[in-house]
Amino acid sequence: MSKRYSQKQAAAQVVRKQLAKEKRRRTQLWAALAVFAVLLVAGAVGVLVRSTQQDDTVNIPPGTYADGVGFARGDGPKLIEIYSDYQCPICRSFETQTRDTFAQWVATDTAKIVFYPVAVLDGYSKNEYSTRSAAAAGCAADGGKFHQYSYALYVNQPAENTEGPDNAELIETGKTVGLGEDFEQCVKDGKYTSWTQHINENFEERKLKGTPSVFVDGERVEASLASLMAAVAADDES
Amino acid sequence: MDSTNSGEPLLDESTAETADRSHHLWRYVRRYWPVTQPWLGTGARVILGVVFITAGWLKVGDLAESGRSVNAYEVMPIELGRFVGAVLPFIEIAIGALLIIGLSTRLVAFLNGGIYLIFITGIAQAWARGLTIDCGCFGGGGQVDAADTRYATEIARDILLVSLTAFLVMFPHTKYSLDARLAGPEEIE
Repeated sequence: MSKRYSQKQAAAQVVRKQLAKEKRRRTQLWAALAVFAVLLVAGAVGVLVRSTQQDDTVNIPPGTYADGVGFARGDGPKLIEIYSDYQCPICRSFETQTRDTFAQWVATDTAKIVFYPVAVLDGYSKNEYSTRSAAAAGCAADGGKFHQYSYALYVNQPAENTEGPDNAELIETGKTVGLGEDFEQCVKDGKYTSWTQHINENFEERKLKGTPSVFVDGERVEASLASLMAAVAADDES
Repeated sequence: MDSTNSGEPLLDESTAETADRSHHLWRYVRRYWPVTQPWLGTGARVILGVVFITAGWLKVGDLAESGRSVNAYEVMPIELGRFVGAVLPFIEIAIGALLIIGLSTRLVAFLNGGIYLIFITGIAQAWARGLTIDCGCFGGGGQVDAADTRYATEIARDILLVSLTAFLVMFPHTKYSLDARLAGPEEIE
């Protein structure tokens, strides 16, 4: 009698254990499904947020070259393209290094020099100087002073990982090259912020990763005056 | 020669002693393992979770940049890279949060480890192909000076984190987890 009772009890215990195990398995299954649902939602949020970060309409400044992404100087047979960021120190030294030679090449119709002001270094600025300065350069193009303003930006370049000049200071710099109230309003409105994204996309599509990136007639060259001079000279021989 | 021989037993004794001591230590570790393991697991969950949430959070502000840093690895078409760049930060945040609350710890740790293995592969191939990029692990990314690449450090850090995920896959039962709460008191067998 008592033996049978304890047998029954043991059987009941086994069943109970089995049920508990089953229940735990079901909980685990639901938890796993919940995990995948959360990840799916997270991915969808990413796609959504990305589309809100992108501007639908792109304002393109007047007088741009090639699909609205750059500004050209000169009309020589050689095509020199420069992707440059106003926050990038190497771009600054490249700019100062090549300034006189470029002026000469433009004057003598040796080369057409296209400058693409990409804005890919916001991560190295505490106040998105990369994007704001490039957008301000677009405003300068409205006033027909893109190249002058561009150079002034390099002269006033902030150090990396600092708070760069704010919009008021960008406007002040504009005044030094003769830009007026329209420029001021344009910078304040962030009129060409969408344009900087447009340039960045072109930069990405050309599989570029860093600034400065320099091309001569579509061929990538090292960003130095020496390599540019060599490339331009090589063309003369052919 | 003979005189130095006398020293040998002494040496043996001392090594035996250290062996004995390490044996003791091992026994000690084993005895308290049921107590320490769940806490170590909780520690791993918090570390992994905080790292992933931080990594994701630093990227969400500029998803275009995130896409560029994915494309800097040159392993997929640009459009796909942009998509991954947009989706990845949120997946990182989600996985980090799931680890911290401790839901499906084993599965989430497994996924986390898988992502780290992809990261390691990506960095290693960039290194091997001679690309000079920043991993963009915590925002930023893109090309850097050859002297500024930190591939070895980045890979070492990821391996360390992978080992934490492996620990959680092996021992998914941890303190203060949603898993434990859902399992209820029947957990004790």
